[in-house]
Amino acid sequence: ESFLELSNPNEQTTGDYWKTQEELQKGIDACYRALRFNGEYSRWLHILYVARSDEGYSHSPNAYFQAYSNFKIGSYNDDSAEAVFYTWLDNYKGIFWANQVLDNAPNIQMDETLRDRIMGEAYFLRGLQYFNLAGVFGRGPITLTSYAREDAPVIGEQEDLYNQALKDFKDARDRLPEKYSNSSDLGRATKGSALGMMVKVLMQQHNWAEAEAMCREIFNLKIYKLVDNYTDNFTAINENNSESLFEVQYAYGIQAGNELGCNRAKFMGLPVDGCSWDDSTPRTALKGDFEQEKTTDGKVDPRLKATLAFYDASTPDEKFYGKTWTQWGLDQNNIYWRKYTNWDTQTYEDYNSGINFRVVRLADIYLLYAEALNELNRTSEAYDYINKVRNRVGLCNLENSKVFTGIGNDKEKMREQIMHERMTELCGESWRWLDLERWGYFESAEKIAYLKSRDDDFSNFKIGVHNRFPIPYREIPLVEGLTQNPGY
Amino acid sequence: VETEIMQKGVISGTIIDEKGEPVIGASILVKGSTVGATTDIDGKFTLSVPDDENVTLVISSIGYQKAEIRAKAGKPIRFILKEDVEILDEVVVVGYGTQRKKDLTGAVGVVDVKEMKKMNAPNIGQALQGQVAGVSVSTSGEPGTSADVRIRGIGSFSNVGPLYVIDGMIINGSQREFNVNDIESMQVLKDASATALYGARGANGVIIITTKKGKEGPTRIEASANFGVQQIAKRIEMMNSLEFLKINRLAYENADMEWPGEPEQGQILTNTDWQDEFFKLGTTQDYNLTLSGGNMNGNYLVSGNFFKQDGVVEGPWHKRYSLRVNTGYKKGIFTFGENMLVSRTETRPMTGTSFIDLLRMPPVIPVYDDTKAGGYGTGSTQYQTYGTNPIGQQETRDYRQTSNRIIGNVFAELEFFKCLKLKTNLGVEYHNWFDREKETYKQIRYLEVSNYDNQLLERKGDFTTIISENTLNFNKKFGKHSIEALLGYTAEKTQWKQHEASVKNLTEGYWVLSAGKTEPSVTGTDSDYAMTSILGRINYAYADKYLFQFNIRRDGSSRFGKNYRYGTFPSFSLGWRMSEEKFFTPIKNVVDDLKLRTSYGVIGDQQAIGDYDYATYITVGEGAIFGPDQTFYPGAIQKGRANPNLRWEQKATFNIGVDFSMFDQHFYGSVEYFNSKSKDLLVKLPISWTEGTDITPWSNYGKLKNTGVEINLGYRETKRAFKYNIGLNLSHVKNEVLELGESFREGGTNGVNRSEKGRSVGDFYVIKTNGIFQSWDEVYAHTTTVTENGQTVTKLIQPDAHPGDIRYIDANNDGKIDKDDRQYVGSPLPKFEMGITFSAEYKNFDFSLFMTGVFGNKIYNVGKYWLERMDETSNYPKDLKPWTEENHSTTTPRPVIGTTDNTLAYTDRWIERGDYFRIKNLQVGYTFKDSWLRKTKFIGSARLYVSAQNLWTITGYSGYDPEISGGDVFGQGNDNGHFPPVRTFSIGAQVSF
Repeated sequence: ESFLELSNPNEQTTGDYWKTQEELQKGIDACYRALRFNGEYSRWLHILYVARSDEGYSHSPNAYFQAYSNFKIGSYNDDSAEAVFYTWLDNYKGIFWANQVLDNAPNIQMDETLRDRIMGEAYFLRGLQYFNLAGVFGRGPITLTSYAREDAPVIGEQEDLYNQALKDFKDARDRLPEKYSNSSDLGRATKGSALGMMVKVLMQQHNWAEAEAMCREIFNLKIYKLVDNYTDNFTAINENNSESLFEVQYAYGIQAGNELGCNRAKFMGLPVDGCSWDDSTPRTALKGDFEQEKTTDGKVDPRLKATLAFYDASTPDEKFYGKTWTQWGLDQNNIYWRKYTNWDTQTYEDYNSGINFRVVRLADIYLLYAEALNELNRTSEAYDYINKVRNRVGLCNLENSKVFTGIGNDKEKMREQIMHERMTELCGESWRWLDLERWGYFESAEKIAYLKSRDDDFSNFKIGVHNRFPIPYREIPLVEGLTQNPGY
Repeated sequence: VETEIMQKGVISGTIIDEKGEPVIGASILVKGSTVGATTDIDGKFTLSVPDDENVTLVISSIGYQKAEIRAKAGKPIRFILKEDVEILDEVVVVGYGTQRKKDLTGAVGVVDVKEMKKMNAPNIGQALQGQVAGVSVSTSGEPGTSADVRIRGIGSFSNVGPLYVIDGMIINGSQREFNVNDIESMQVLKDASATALYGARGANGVIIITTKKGKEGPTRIEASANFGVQQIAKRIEMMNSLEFLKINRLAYENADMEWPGEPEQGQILTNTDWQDEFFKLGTTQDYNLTLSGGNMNGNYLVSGNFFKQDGVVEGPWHKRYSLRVNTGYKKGIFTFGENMLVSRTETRPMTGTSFIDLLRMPPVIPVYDDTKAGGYGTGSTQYQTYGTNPIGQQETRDYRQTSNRIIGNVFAELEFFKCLKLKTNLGVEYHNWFDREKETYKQIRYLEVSNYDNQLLERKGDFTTIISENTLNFNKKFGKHSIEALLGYTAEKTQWKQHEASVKNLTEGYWVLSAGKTEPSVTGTDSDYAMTSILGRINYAYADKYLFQFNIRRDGSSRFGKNYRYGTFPSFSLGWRMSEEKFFTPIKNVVDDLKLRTSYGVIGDQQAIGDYDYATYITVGEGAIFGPDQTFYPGAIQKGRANPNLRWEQKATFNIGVDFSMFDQHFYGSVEYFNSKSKDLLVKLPISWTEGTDITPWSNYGKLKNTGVEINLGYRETKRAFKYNIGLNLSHVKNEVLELGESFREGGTNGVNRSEKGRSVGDFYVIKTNGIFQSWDEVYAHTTTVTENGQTVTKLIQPDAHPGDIRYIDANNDGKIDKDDRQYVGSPLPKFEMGITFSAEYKNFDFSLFMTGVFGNKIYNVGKYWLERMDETSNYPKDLKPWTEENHSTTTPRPVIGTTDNTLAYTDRWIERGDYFRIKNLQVGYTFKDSWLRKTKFIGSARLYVSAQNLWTITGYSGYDPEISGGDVFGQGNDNGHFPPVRTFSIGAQVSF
């Protein structure tokens, strides 16, 4: 009998685990890994949020990349549709892992403050995953425990998923510290991170009043301020800076067999030997957005070059990955993504870029605050916050703009203006899709026509269908009560 | 006239065969004594016997009927030994014992080893192809790969093949380490009663092999050598540069895109024939040397082998060195022996999917390109192919596998009484391997440039199995009753460990781990596994007419949780030798032998699952990055889910068969029908990803059924000068999934295979095409009328289509084309498989022809998908005539760069018939006349032969070869650029001394 009794020499059984403070600590550290999954911030969320929106498109030889962005995904929802599959899978993986921490934390004899903090982190991470499931799929099971499921799961619609995310962020806010005393904790979720994400959810829910209040809570923390240099938000230097409420921590290369970097830059950047696959390309219309208005000293908005890579006849010697546009033999009419790439510090891109991804930063919160104020009919108060963002890059105060005039206290005009301000400030930062959804752009033929004028892919867009991504086809028969999104 | 010198107390003589040729190495034994001798090269012997006494001499030799004659000292004898043609008295090896072939009641296929060896196969699997009904084998031409062997269809969802038992030792090793030349006999056990004693390991059939042993007589030396040349049997005609450019331009034009491929003025147009560049003549060499001998008390055999195969394409090769030592010893009631195999293989496998890449690569790209940093031609902004340079792939990715294996067992047998034997067998299999993968990161694909110079990965591991088997055997006849019984206890334990280390940026020219500068990584795993079994068998026969067998085995495995560890599996079989009945006498002169037999039994299986799969574990490693220096903090989390109630998979088989021989044993054969049902199948049943994991846990789920018919027919002439044998084996298996959940299970590339209730495993389900739209009218006429909310509406099915695009069938009538429109179009499983052998001997010549055929299966041709999509810059088949305004093709759409519905991967455009019939082997041999050889005084026998393998194939399949190996159960018949079986021409010699 004992001859047949063999235990796994490689790993501890779950029954022997979750007994100590150290074990819980290791559990929550594992949960942060989920953010670096391809189905979360390392690849697919960017492809989906950027290429699907009017910011970008795909001319990849891989038919699937094109199908993700040109709304033909219905015919391509199969085994090879990685964006569909991994975005779903990896977010639920993250939820399963966070649930393990939440299930086991209460049973461990340990320091109460630490337990609270760790649970706060788990709530925050789970909230982030429900938030993105709501944004991409708009439907999915809500699972709040790691134990094997016995009954049919609760299937949440977009509103339910957002509500769950909001609840998680609140639970996180109540438990997380404003700052960590130990610098080795830099990068963990904080109260500010949770508040920032609460604002994000509340804005999507058009709960302007609550969103406004949460923004004020952030300002009251008196921790955050804009960085002087706009590009400090997308490079590996000056990470976790004063503007950042939460960022996904990435490091270059591989350590002990663990991939620590992000592969967004491998997919969104210059298609030259050793660099990007250019599977997601910016639309040329974007350039015009930046060129509308010059800085106070008559220069081009610096955010243009921080965001896009293109041939600039005035600086033909400008080097990308060590060579000029001409030396690479690139077409002078083409434009590519520059934001979040290592164009100036490396001669290649690999799957492990070390640039942290800033999920929420103060400039975004300022603009959301302005938007909330405007929606609450406090248009005049919005100016200050918009101006903070404009002034940083050398643009004049909005009320003095020669290009955007006659806004005054006109709520509609101000809304339009905020859309422009967000476009130029946050272009390529994977928020445009959700902004468009919040502004109702996916609901009217007129708005779709506008998007089509910027991005021809929208000629395939069907109202009521393509605002959602299809659920992986394999999941429909496997989850009781789950139905495919309408139109797929 | 004999001229022997008369001598008192000595008997001398000559033993010859029916042709008058001397029988060499025949054993002569004085009955009732230990005095004996063996015949020499002239068939002569001398023997001392007591004077003036009549003695009985027992004369025996393999292949001849044993004979006894009376003799007296001083009187020389001359005796003619009769050849043993009584095949029915053949003894075959079955689980833990032997049985007369005529007493068999289970389904056992006996391989004609002599014919099999003519295949010159590099491994057992390949050698077995087409030899036995019910055994399907798919081979690959890649040096050092094992063949896929499947017995009686798909009985489980795992890829576990049959169990190999060599000299009583259960082998875990792969086929390639074993030298076919060492085989003496080979049996395939197919049904539950035949495999019962191997219980949990035998569910997928058992292949029992015994190796050659030394025979009584003087030392015998045998040597053989074979040299062959090999080639890829087929070329796929591809376009040249000019033809390619025309279609490529059209593809861009159709997409309203600027054509980057426009040649510049003065541009030199490269015209690479990638197949010419990649293919080469391969070679095989096979050398064997065997020393053997023995006397009445013991025997020995030592055999050495060297085999080398140099692949037919750039890159791969394989070498094998093996040494076998078999000895046996007998002293009174005590017998013991030892078998040992020491084998070393060195292999360079092929890397990447070069068989597709070499077709995809446009002819305008050169193999080597000095203007590129890596020196290899790749896609460029002008020709944007993502195909990999197949030659660069092989040259820059140099993988080596080295493997050493020792398989040995010692056994001892005590014969307490004539009827009772105790046998104990102790076996060990030790295997270690060392893989070294050297990657030089030179650019071999468009845009793909690594920021590392190179990488070295080394993998090292070992594996040890120790088996102890103890059996008690009872065998007695009481009048017409004969009883055989077996009781046994076995235990085995396997331990396995492996570690892997890799490092990047090594000092150039130094392929050792210490020469690496960046990203060192080390991982390692341990595993162990144990099993205990009790087994029993009873054989009862009445008057050699009524045969009955009962088997039982109880297995315990460490792979299951406490409550599910043991399984008990019984089986029984019945046989009736009708030809022994009185009423049969009138037709006995026509039908020599007729036997009916049937069996039923249950077998368990657990080989699919891993060692600890019934529990959940915490995985250390995944972690976070924190702090100003971005330090990595490894975490620990449960990543998978598990099923604690895992239990034995069960397979119940019913078998009924008839064996016959007619017309004085000229015509013989067997017909059998079987029906097997498997349940509680161990399968990784998909669970929803919302459970938080993509590590699919094992479950006991699903039911499968296989029914089949196997026919073996032969006609032989062995008594005349022109001897021949014609054999035919034919098998048909029908597979059916009886249970696999409410939905279906997808498999294969792009999910083209589907397994679902009521169909066979892995059927092809794809969207059906219905020609090409010839005009806009046809595009707009392609509609579906549906009722929505009580209103009848007409929907355009393919609104984005353009004349020249493919028209698809909207199978579910929902007005759109998507995955839900897939329909059944065929199965990757053949309906019939057959083997035909014809062998003949006339005077000193022998001839052998072997043909195989597979019918009724379909193949998913992934290579064709890459070549004929025409949506990216790949080369196109020569005869591809796409749709244009001028050429209204009805089968091939227009070329368009980018995504259109034409690029869909799961459509019937890529499904082809996989039937084939081929001349697998053809051999002509010449054996030198003994009278000539005797003059040399040292050569005993010599034979020369020439042979050809895969000489000729009839098939409609457009890829390289329809014989596809690899792929899992759910995704069969996918030709993902597999290495096709190769054509070989060889010459060889066999000499004995």
